[in-house]
Amino acid sequence: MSGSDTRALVEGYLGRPVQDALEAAVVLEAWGGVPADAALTLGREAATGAPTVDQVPDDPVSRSVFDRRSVASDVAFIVGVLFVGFWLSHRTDRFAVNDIDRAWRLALPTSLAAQWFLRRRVFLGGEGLGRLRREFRLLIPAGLVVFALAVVPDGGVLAVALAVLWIAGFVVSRRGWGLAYGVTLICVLAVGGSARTAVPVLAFVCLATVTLAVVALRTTPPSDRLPGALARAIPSALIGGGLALFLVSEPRFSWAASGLLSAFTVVPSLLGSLAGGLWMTRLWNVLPPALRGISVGPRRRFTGSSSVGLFVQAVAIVLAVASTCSLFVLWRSSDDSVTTETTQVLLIAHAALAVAGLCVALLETLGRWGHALFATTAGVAAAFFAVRSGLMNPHPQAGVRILLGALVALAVALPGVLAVLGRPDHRIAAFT
Amino acid sequence: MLLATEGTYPFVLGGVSTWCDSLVNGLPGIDWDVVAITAGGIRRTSLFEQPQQVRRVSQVELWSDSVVRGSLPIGRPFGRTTGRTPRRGLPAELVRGILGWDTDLVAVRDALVWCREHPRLVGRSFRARAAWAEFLEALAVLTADQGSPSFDLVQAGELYQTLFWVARTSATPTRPTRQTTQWHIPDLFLVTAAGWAGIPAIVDRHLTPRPLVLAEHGVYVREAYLQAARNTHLSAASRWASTRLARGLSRLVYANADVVAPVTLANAHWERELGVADSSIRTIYNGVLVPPKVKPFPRRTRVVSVGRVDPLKDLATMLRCAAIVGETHPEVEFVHYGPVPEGNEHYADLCMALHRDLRLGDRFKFLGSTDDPYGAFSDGSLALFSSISEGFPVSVLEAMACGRPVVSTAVGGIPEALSGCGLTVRPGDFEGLAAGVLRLLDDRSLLATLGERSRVRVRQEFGMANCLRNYRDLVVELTGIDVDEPVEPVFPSLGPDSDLAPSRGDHAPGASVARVSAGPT
Repeated sequence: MSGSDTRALVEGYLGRPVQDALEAAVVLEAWGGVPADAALTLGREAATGAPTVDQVPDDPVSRSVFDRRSVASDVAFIVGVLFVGFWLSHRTDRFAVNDIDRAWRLALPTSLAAQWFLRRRVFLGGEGLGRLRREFRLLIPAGLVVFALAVVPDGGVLAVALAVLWIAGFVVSRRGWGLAYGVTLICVLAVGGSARTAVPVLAFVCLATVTLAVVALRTTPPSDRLPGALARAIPSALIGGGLALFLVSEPRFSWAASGLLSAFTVVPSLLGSLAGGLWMTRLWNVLPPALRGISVGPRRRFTGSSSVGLFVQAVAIVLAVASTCSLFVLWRSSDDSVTTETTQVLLIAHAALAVAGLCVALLETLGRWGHALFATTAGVAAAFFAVRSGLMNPHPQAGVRILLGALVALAVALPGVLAVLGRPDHRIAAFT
Repeated sequence: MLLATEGTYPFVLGGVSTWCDSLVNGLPGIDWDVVAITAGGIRRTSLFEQPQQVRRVSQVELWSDSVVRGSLPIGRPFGRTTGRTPRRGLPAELVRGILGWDTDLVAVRDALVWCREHPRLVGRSFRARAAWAEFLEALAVLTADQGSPSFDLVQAGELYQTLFWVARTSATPTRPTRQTTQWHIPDLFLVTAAGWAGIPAIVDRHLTPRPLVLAEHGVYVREAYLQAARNTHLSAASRWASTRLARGLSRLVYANADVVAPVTLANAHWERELGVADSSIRTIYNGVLVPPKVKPFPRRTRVVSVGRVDPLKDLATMLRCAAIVGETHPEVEFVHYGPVPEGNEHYADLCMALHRDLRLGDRFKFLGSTDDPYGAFSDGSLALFSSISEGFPVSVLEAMACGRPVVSTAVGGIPEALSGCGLTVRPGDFEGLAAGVLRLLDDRSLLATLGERSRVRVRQEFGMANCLRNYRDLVVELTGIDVDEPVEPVFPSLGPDSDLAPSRGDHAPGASVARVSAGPT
């Protein structure tokens, strides 16, 4: 049989041109029953002068699915969390103002660090609760840290309650129960939270949330999927905790005295992180089609416009929500104990922090966690030490520290974000 | 010895795993460190009871940043310098060296060794923008040849990540570091596949000059090409990348192996084609236990096959063969034992659909996995195999050891195993298989003669003792270390009607087996 005859035979089996001599030999051996030595010889002949292989660069692109139920659960959970803070700020008749203030400052960084840790360790990539059930030992150090807050005088116990609510509630929301949980939480606190019953109601809510979290875990089959690396989860926790430190870095803003403002100022920041995650989901749907068909040859044209465009949209969403929240808070600010001017600065600061949070979350999600951690650290350092170093007015207006820290974090993170998004092909390839 | 496996022992049942289990149990004079290359991001449990001489089983998980508990973490310096400067040309070097047709394999090996010596710089090297640009240029040059497909940026990105995992696998330490008290350099590296499993061993062999043996059961590159040829949904670029990667890794392992030990002469042709010198090839056949007694042929004629439900086993041909046999011999029962591996569910559905179309009913039964292949074969009159690709299948030897003649497609080492003891036809020839089955069913004396001849051949050529002794001798020859005589697991003492037999995996009832020194065969 001549080489061209053999090639015709092989291509008949394959239904396409033969790739090379080894492929021809494999086909001859497996489907033609030709012994290996003869198949290899014939394969070489068959592949000589073989035409160019089919040019079909159309591997299917997997698309991420936008899980609306999960988002609704997350949003409901955040609303529930905020309501706890709001409710607490109105219980100054039962809890000392200083205690509430300290509890916020302790619980918020602890809870966000734990949430970011759990997200990176078990909740990314599906079967999160199943993996957490397998890795339930993760909750032991988290529990120890939370309960260690109780030793802090003036507000430590309250901080434990808040942290338990926010961490256990996070687990509940990952079960898809966030909506029901958030609504129930609001109802229970609204109905049963008088000065006399505040403590038992808070204890009950904490206990119920922990029980729900346990039920959520127990009703989920354990997963055999491996957890994410600790080497990624720990920096992630530091970044999450760092972003929360921004929020509590302003000593002149009282979380207890600000009432509704305390809750609403947090919304843009939390939304920044959430939008970062959601935006990432869309990124994987947008980028591959944009890169598909662009040859690796010397005349290739890179385009980062689609990904940068998405980023701009995400920033716009965060700013729009922040503005809406601001208008609402300003409208109600006459009811609160802070001045309109202070409120404006605070809201601007939190909007800036939301954008910084979006950038940091984006960098962390895209694997640039070192850059994200550096940006967070730089921002926190600026927020805490700028006044102390004498660079600023020793008695700045409330919110200026947060604004300064957010701008520093943004200045550090933004070039990294733009660099990553400007070269999406490199980011996709090096997403390791 | 360091035993490197890929997707098999000790987490998956099958021929290679059974072979590994036999080896570590049969050579108790050797301490074993097992490194299993796995993928899928799932937690795995060993399916085999580890004997005392297996000191450690570590796992290298691909495509995941998860670190498997008990494994050696990447990033721990391995004795030498760790350096500070990333190697930005690394991805380009790997794509040129591994995916090119004729390339400098020494340069590739050196690049992999650099990865082991600078584990913390591997990720940084791949993340560098200059590395990506250089990689694209190298890929463009590589695919500019006639016959090569063009890559787009997404496909190039996928290939880039694959090469990152090659580098990361080479950077992963395969044994405890000097900081631990268990510092130990293996005297020999034994690799069971010329692919990913060979990567860490190649690096180890260079860093601690110790011999490397490749025990190749299938032919890695042939199986990769087969898989690509069968997958009609793959683009030309993806197909090209996967087959070239397999070819490159195989060439790399072949070039660094002191001895390539195929399980059949048929595989040696492929190994020579990819550059292995004749002097480095030493065929060591698989071995199986031989039951002391043969069960009499059953009253009802039963044709038995054992093998996973996989396109490589070409079960469609087996079903069509059964349909033809059923036309004249409706009383003949066909049974197939074998699991449906993850990912082969669609193929299993196709087989069931064909089963319905051929109206086979109870004449052909899929009975799922078996822990007792000897019992399964002994319950039948003859064994049937329809694979399109094989190495030197243990199942065929087990059927022969039970005194059952084999009708099979002539692929891989099967003709070599059956030589004069069974019937072979070309792959896909269901009419030929049916003719073979009918001939044996219609000629009972031939059935009995071939069965007895098969049993004798296995006892003389392919007994477990032979296999263990050959490996033991190879270890002694390469290391110069005197290794204890192998011990061979033996069948428990059998009663007149006992079906007890050694099983595959520790989960099998009655799996405990006594061991005695192997005598001459």
